[in-house]
Amino acid sequence: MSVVLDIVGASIVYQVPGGAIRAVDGVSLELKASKTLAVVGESGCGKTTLAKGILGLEQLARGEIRVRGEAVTANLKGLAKRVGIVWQDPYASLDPRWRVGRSIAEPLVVNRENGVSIESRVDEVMRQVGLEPSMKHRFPHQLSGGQRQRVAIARALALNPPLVLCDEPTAALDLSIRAQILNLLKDLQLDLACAYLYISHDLTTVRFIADDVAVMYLGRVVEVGPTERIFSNPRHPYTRALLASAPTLEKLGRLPEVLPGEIPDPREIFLGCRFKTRCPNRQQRCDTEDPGVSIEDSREYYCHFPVD
Amino acid sequence: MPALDIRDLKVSFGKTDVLRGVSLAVEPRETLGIVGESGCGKSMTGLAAMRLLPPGGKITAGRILLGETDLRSLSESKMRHARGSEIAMIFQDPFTSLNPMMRVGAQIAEAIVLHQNVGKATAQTRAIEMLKAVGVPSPDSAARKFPHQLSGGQRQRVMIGIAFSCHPKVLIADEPTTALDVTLQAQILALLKELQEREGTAVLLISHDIGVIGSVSDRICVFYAGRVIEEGPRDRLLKNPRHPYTRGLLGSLPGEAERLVSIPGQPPDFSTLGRDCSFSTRCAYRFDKCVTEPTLLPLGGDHRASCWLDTFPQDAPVAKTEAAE
Repeated sequence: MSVVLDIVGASIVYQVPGGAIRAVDGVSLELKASKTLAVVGESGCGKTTLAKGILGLEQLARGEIRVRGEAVTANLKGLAKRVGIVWQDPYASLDPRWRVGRSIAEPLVVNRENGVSIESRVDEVMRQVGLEPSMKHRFPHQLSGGQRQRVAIARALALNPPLVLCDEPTAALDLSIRAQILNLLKDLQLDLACAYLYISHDLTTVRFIADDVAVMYLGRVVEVGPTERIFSNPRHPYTRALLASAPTLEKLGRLPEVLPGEIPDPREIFLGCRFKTRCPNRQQRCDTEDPGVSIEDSREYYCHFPVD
Repeated sequence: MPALDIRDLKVSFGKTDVLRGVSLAVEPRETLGIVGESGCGKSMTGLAAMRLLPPGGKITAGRILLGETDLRSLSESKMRHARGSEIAMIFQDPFTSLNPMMRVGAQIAEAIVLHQNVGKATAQTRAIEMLKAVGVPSPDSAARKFPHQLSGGQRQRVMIGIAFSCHPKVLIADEPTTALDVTLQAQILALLKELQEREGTAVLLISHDIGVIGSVSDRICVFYAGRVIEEGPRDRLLKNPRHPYTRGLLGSLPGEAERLVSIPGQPPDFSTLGRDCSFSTRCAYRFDKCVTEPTLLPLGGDHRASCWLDTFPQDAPVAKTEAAE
């Protein structure tokens, strides 16, 4: 199966007063056609910055990001044909003064393709996402939240890109609408064979939609592998803590487990493991030695003293 | 006796009723979870109980009993005194509910001076003790900080500190962890539980997150279109939901299944609601009785649902489709 997205040792650094923030620090990931890779982690872990790197919106300090074998920075203008993006809040990502049909058509107009009728492509992609083509004359405020997110998905798919980034696409939606959008994303993937890079902090959603999951903490991937394996048997203590702190209906009447502390100031220079300040398994070695990769049944993790 | 007992509360904006007869009660030390989707009236119920409705909103009927006092009958100045000392509320986003121009220690002390008849110096000392109790690291220096100098989790701790500083009997927590990451959410839920147990507070926890509701509530109310459509003890309600809407909500949670069950359609527009059941337009089980909206009907064991299905099972048709989009 062909590799759609290939990230090799990518770093993105922000210069800020008082130092530099390595928001993405040596991340390597691979995503194949028709597959979904979820990137999970808390605010400030670098997941959205990574998405900006894939979209060519942030310069890489080191490493490379390739979509279909071509570096994103090599051909920024043609990138829209290779990467689509669905943001969290469709009300903010759609122009409120444009009829939604115009928003969906915009990538087709900009990347003019000969012999393709823009009108008929808009109708087609609207049907694919479950919208009546007659709705293209409406404004975003005349649609419901779920319909707006369908418009945003139609726009991302207009050029039929092999890779679609989804940055918290259901976080702003109510539960019953969220279910509709998740089903839609799954159906579209079956029909179009596109790959999703699915960024989310919502673990139950990730378990439903993703084939593989990468857990990020402070700019680094700490564990990556097949979703079921990671959810049923996490090896990195942060992955375990993340799963244990999410309240679910299996744990009725029980408070979720507490991981003490907060994410440290990212400007600090880190010696040793980045998770050491909050880690229950911390030992002397973690203070000085950055853990390297351990590989174990197609899963990778970075920890000296993993969870059993 | 319940700490807070809301009976048949109605709130309207102009001609539109947004709460259409809400009744709920919460005992001391108990957590009542309120769950529902955007616009169902769950936050409006909290704001009405605080008598802090947004402009244009009016309580048109019902009683809000705090112990034996009906909050509706209080003068504005008496109500202002009750707010904070008897009934307090915390909101989703501590950054917008804290004063950005005021040091956090002073914000906690302000509430203490207002309600507890102590001097400024004592209030300041108590504010620092409160910061310590809610787990803000180095409380002495934190008291001198402004809200923007604290992290999101610490700001929510400060809000909780203000809410508990005057020992209210009832705390309304409106989506208190929604803006927080999952590990911080777990910390804040544990903190709320700890303070509630120490103070014996009755807590009304409003959330759209059924996982949060299921982990901390003793009892649960499900809201739909400005009414309570199902209520009951936590385990009973979540393991054996009886209202088709509650079943739909739980079905739309990602689980083992390949596809999620979603509820077809949209919540109704309040201005077009008639006499029929407000969920009937989306309900797969609709039958002829649904032209009138049922009250909460008893199902045994404190479990009640506003649905005709269980009372007249012999009339009910077999469900047409479960997984309609």
